[in-house]
Amino acid sequence: MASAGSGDEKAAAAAMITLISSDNEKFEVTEATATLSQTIRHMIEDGCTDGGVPLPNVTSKILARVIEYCKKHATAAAGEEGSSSSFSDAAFLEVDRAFLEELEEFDDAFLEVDRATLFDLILAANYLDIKGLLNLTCQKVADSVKGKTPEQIREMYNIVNDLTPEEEAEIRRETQWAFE
Amino acid sequence: MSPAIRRRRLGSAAGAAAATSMGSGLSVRRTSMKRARAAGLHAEADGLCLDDEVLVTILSLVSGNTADLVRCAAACRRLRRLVSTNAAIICSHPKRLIRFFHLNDMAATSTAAPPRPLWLGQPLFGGLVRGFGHRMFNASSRVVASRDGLLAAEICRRRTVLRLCVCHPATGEADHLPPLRGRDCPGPYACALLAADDLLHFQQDGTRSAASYRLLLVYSRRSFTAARCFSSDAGSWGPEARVSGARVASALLHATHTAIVHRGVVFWPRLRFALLALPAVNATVVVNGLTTPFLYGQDKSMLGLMPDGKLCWAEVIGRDKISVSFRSHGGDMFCLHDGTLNGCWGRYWTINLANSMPELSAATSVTLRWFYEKSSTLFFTASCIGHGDDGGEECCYTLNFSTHEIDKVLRNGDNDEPWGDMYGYELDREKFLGSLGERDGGTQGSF
Repeated sequence: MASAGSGDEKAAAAAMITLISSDNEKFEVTEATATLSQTIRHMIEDGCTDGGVPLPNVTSKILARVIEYCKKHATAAAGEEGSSSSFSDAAFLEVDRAFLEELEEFDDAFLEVDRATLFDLILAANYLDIKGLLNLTCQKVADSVKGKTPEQIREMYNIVNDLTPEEEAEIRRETQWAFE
Repeated sequence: MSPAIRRRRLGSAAGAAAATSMGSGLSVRRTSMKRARAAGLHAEADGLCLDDEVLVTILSLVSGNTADLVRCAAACRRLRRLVSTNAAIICSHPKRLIRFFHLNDMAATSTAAPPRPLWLGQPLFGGLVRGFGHRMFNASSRVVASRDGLLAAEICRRRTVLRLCVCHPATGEADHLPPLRGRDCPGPYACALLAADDLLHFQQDGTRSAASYRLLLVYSRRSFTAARCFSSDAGSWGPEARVSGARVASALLHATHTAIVHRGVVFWPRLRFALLALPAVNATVVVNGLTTPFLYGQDKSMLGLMPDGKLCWAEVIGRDKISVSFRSHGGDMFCLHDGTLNGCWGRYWTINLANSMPELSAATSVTLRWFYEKSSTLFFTASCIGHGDDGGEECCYTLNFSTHEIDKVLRNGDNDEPWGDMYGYELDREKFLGSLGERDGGTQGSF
């Protein structure tokens, strides 16, 4: 790791990126995995990843999860590219479908987290600009409010109700149909 | 830019100057209950650690269901602000909300009863009613026309004074039109609202903006049929124009009539009468009219417009079927005066209501009420035997012309009175969400 950049190892090592969490834990990932994050992709393009990429907004616990997601989806992306050129259509479709199913299962399992972790994942995905992860996690929140009352939404996400009773009554009165 | 409207907001003096033909003091009075845009007036303390951008992303994923969005907006100040100020981003799928306005019938108005709810799909109007409802929508007010997010209402009708008001329920703004008094006050009249898009098809004098509208009145004089038009741009009523080539049977004018506006023709199917031009605002003219021998739009049938401008005809067949035919392309309202449905009408389908909605198999009377042209939805009511505790309850349904789906519309409140005349009202979802924001004047209306 520390020897990255010396001599003939350079080519192989160049594909590895070190990410440093807010609590100073280091994570070694492939460039393919790291570049799922647009933020990191830009840093790589700008050549400012030497010595690791500090991510002061992301804890090691969350970063580990994010990397887990990126690894899986980076493989998926690579698999898709590879398969599209080397398989016949029918075989490709078969592989594709199996792969997508697996990916879906992974995503479902990945989202089995508590509210605090989910929010941390959203914040990290937003900060690192990982489209797929942001969409996945936001969708989870969006799905969870469906059919819920404002009280339930507040309770679910620890939202403090800062509307005055009058304001709240007003919204309910004007949009009564949404509460029936 | 809309100089005319700005002028009117600033005060009545300039507006009155535009109303030369009507004399002074007849300017439009505009009342407004605009909401604060951008940042709220009050501090937000919701304790949510997600930033606005992320929340908007989440809201846009909720946006499939408007009711869910509304309930999110009711959770805290920040969510309310985000829903109301980011409506365009959140609504990636433009959708129209439809509402029903239940007209106060004449019997109720005479007893000076408290105002009944004017709508069924619920109170966008609530803002108006709370704001200056006691003044504007008392027992003797009624809706007379609606079009493209605008609503025209008649206020405190007297024999010699006609006061009309055009409101934008989404923004809470209302234009109080100069009252028509004395000789200018018509007897029974039919009414049509024309929005900016409609005006493109009419030859018009003067300026126009996206917020322009015209309110058109048609009524009987002793020896002729007359028309008069209010222009939002001029801020005044034009002079009375004589309709040539057609007459309205004055007896028909006592009932309410909805108009169809189509390619430069304003047509009142139940009056069998159409206007082919708008009376000018600044010159006395004769406008051409047209009478058709065919009676369109009795209770059992209704003429409507599809979003693409095609005319359609819906008819109740038997007890529980609705058949729909469309005007083939190229046919416009001018063809209607031959009075037949043959030849020019095509693509005909019939829907068996009971198949989609089993409870309608016991329907005794299906009545077509309103056609929502922007969302191509037909609104109808039906009485079903053995439905409800007392039996024979009248229920409301919508039939979507694109999907052929029937939905039941739930009535709000425990108002079990039968439906009188109804006016439909279509509203852009974006505008609706925008209207949820915080109010300038706090929570209490300033009127």
